[in-house]
Amino acid sequence: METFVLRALLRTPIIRRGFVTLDALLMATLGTGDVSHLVRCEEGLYFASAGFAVDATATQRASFVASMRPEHSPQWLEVVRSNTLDGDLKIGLSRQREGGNIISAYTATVAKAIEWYATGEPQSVLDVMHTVGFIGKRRTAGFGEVTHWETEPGDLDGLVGYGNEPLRPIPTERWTSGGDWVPVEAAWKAPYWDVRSRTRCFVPEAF
Amino acid sequence: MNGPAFFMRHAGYRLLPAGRKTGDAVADADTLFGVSLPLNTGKTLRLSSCWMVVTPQWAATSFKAVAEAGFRHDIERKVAIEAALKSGEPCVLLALGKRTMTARDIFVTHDPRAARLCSEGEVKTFNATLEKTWTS
Repeated sequence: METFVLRALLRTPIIRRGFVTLDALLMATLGTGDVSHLVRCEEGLYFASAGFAVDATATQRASFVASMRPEHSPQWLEVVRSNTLDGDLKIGLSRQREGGNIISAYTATVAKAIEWYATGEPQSVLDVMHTVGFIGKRRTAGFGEVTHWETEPGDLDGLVGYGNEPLRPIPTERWTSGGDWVPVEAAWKAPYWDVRSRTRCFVPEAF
Repeated sequence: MNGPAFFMRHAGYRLLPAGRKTGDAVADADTLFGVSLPLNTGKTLRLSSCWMVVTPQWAATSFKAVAEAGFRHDIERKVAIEAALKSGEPCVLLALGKRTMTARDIFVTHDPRAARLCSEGEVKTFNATLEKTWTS
């Protein structure tokens, strides 16, 4: 395994929520929870950095309205079903207000590319990622369109940066590079959405 | 230790009825925010519309919990937050509104430079040492 840089050149602004680590991206693409054959992994910690914006020139607000109409969606109808003995599905006005229009607001970053630093098999990673056309949130709305994927040899192992800063969430008890970094609670391993994956970590300051 | 585990260990399990405990802090925290709890007034109320400051040594809240729960009610929110952040120990800062809180919304503050004020569906992170009133 070798250190390398993976770069996704962007055509449209990208919406990021969280750190978008390379191991998470690979897991999502492959539909698996283990990518240790692609990226070095030691006791659950992948040597794969968060995604860093390259030449970020601006940010912009991006808001979307989800129109959650009980009468249009059987699933939503089940959620707000009346709590009555006869199972009456009629929804009163007050409960209908629990649906309706829901606004989700995001911040999109205008950048030339997103870069990841990692230790692993660059060609195998590129083979997996080169078919991915969009990354980040709101991909179906056109955000995060990738025009080209590329790799090149790198100096960073995916954990520690040039300034001895953390490149991804790393549990503080496993951090050996020193420095006065601010510990926060963050998910450091997959599944990143699971509360149980969170612990006291050092994280990249850019997030 | 993650937020729900910290919160339940130092505060939540004092409130959660014994019959509802599963031992899984995340599931128990979600249960806690969804059940009616006895108040010191004799009534019951869901854990909402209040603030809580939880540290390993003490927990303060504006929720009118029964005395047996052992929460502090003698200090104001601002004072409690400042005392918790200056203690040098991890703490949880909660600001609960009327909506139901979930376990995933609870984060531990480990450093006052990244204090995390947790609400329903939203966590505000701020540097408390930059506040005008901060004196170390």
